[in-house]
Amino acid sequence: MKKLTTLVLFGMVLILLSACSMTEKNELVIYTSVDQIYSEPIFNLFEKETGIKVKAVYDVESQKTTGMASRLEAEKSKPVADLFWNGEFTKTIALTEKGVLSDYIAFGGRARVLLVNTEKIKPDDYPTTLTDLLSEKYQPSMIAIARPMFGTTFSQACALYAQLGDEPGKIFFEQVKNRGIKIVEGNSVVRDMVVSGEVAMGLTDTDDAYDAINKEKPVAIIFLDQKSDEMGTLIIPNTIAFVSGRPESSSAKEFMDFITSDKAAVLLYESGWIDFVEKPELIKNQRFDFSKVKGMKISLEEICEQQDVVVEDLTKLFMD
Amino acid sequence: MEVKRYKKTSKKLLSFLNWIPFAILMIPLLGLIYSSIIEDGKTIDIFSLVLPTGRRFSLLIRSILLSLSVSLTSLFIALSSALKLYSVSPKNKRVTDTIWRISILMLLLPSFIHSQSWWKTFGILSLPTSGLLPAWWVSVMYFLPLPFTLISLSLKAIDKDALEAGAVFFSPGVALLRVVLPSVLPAILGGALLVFLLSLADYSIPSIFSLNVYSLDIFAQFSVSGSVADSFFYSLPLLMIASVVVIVGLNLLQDLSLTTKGETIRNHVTIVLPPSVSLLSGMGLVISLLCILIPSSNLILGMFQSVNTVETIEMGLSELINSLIISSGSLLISLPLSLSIGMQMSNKKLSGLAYFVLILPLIMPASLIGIGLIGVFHSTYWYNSIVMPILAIAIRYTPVGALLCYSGFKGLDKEMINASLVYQKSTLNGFLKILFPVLFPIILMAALSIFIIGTGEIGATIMVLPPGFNTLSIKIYNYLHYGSSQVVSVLCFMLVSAIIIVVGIAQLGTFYTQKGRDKNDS
Repeated sequence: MKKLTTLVLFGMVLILLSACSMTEKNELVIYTSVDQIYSEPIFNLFEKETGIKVKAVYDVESQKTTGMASRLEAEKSKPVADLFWNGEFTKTIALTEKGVLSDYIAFGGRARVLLVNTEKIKPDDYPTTLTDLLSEKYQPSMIAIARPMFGTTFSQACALYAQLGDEPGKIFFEQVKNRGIKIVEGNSVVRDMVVSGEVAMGLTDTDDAYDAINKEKPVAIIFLDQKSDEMGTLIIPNTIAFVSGRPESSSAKEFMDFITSDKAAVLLYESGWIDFVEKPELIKNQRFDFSKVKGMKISLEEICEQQDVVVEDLTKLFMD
Repeated sequence: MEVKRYKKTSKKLLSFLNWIPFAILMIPLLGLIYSSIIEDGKTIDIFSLVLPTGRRFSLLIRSILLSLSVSLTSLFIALSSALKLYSVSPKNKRVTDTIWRISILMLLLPSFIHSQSWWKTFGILSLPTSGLLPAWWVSVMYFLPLPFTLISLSLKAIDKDALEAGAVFFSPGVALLRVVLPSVLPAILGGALLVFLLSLADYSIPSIFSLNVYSLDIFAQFSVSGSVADSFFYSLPLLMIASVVVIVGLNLLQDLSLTTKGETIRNHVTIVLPPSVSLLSGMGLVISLLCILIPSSNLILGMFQSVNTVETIEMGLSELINSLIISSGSLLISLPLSLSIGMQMSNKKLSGLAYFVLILPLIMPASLIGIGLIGVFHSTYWYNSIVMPILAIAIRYTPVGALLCYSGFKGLDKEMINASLVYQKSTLNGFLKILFPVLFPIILMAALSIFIIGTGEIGATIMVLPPGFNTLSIKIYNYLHYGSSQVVSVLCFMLVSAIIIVVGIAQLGTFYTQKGRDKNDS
């Protein structure tokens, strides 16, 4: 019994010792919603090149960036992080408006695409516009999209509202629901369902889509609404911002420069996290000619302005 | 006079100490209240948030019915399979013990692994892969290990004399109804309550199978509004209903008079089952084995596909160590709290408020626990340390530990224990020689459950992890999204292996404690 008590006390002392604050000089705290598999190599390279230690806090997809954004907001009075690197833009802009973040920069990008199973659908029958998904030509049970209240599908919904107007935007999603299109957990689930042939097509992001292509699955990527009179597809940039209230740090600025540098752009492209870079000439072996992809001509701020109305409509529609 | 005053003071002190565990469980709520107050000049329509109408009302009813059916089904399967396990000859003791031990390890696998494995199985069998039925089935399979282990342990500790007497005087069917079932009733009710609560709070499985539930609605609300106060008020209806169910369930448990003998877990009983029950319980056992086989075969297949096993192990090693440190730390906090609450519950009926506070951390969205803790500890010097995730996990899973302890204590023969305590030299002596050995199996079960479930926690942990410190569960979830099933298989295998080692050490501890007791007895 004495041994057990000693062991317990020893454990408690160990925990208390490790409880001491772990912040040191010449280090940087970065919160990121970018998957660890993509962001960690960037942090490692930055550490190697600059000698500045990066202490990262990662999010998980199931939290849909909400956890990280809420944490930043809860820590507002005494921030811990120096930078927030977000895989999308809506939360960054919302947090900037609340004064939690400042001076955000958008860089790189992923596009919303339609992933089709080539064994289930012939090339001549591929949809070309987003509204084609509502056509009688395609069985609704063969189409999947992620829950549109979350993640990049939510960003796409906001963009659609901003592009078409509130009412047409709402009607589009009402038809998605009424037709019985499959609403699933996330973009990776959409990808898996298309790959397995459970559905013939689904909306997802280029990083998920190219993951399936790289694994040589029977799939093809379609960029929707590409004709001159069509709206284009949504390109979702990464964003990085300073956390307000932190002491000015040269290390943070250094990382900001690093992540928006050509070198990082190539690395992020090669890892598969982004598919669009500002300078196409940097990429030797392009997965597709991204300079020819037509993006939506609408600003990130305009898209973000739609958030409240989209939330209200889509929650009513899809949470029943 | 002095003695009287001393007794009065110590009683007051004891009653004050009894409130400490509940006060600790209240910390996230206090933090949430603070965070809500400082939310920028926001007016909250509390009435519309707290009162579920229309869509939210039907969602609430659906969630309750789903959780009830998950709880009842898993209980039925757990009971029948545990009965089958303990109806075999003592020669097969090792096999039976191994089955429930492996079963509890299944809780370590992220719910996504269970869902994914069953999803593939449904696809092969051409069964529906979305909606109520698959969500219900996978939830049953995911939570089954808890009641299964609880009932198995309870069956192991059954009063052998009563069982033998039952076998002499009654038919197998009557003995089952009059002796066996009443003895394991605390475990049955405790298991049912736990599964009900955990299923009510879980949205990961229903959402994978495209089924909307109230907890998902809370998350959606939190995700889109980002408001802590809104989300808390939004979750109140679920909390209130869960509290009512817990109060009713525990009151039922309080009224039970039959107890087990409080024997040690090394015993192996052989229960005689009537042929019809034997057939049914055989089927239950097959289902329980499926709950182990389907996810583990999926993982093992993934392991064989892995080309960089050693590299993956190296990559996850530091996260594994972090996970084990955090789980051990949370166990050190949670176990005393669970024991204290469990003992209080078994001694007297607690107030409705106490039950509400007890289940609060389990039902409250995990992210809100994290935010609540940030609200309270944000300015303290240990905020950026592992104390935070340790506290988050400890608080979140103390209700599980408390309910397990309670159902275990409820099964003890208190009169016998009290009689034995009378002959002890001191209270400490009584605790060490009588209480501790009797309570040890219960403590061990609660400790392992908290440790295992805590190791897989993500929602609250991720909100308060110190920068630069990651856990293996978070890494696994990150790789799950990437679709790298091979890496996930290796990381899950690492986690399970580490827990097996910890369980093995605990098992050795049990063995030596028992050996020591035997030596003392002789």
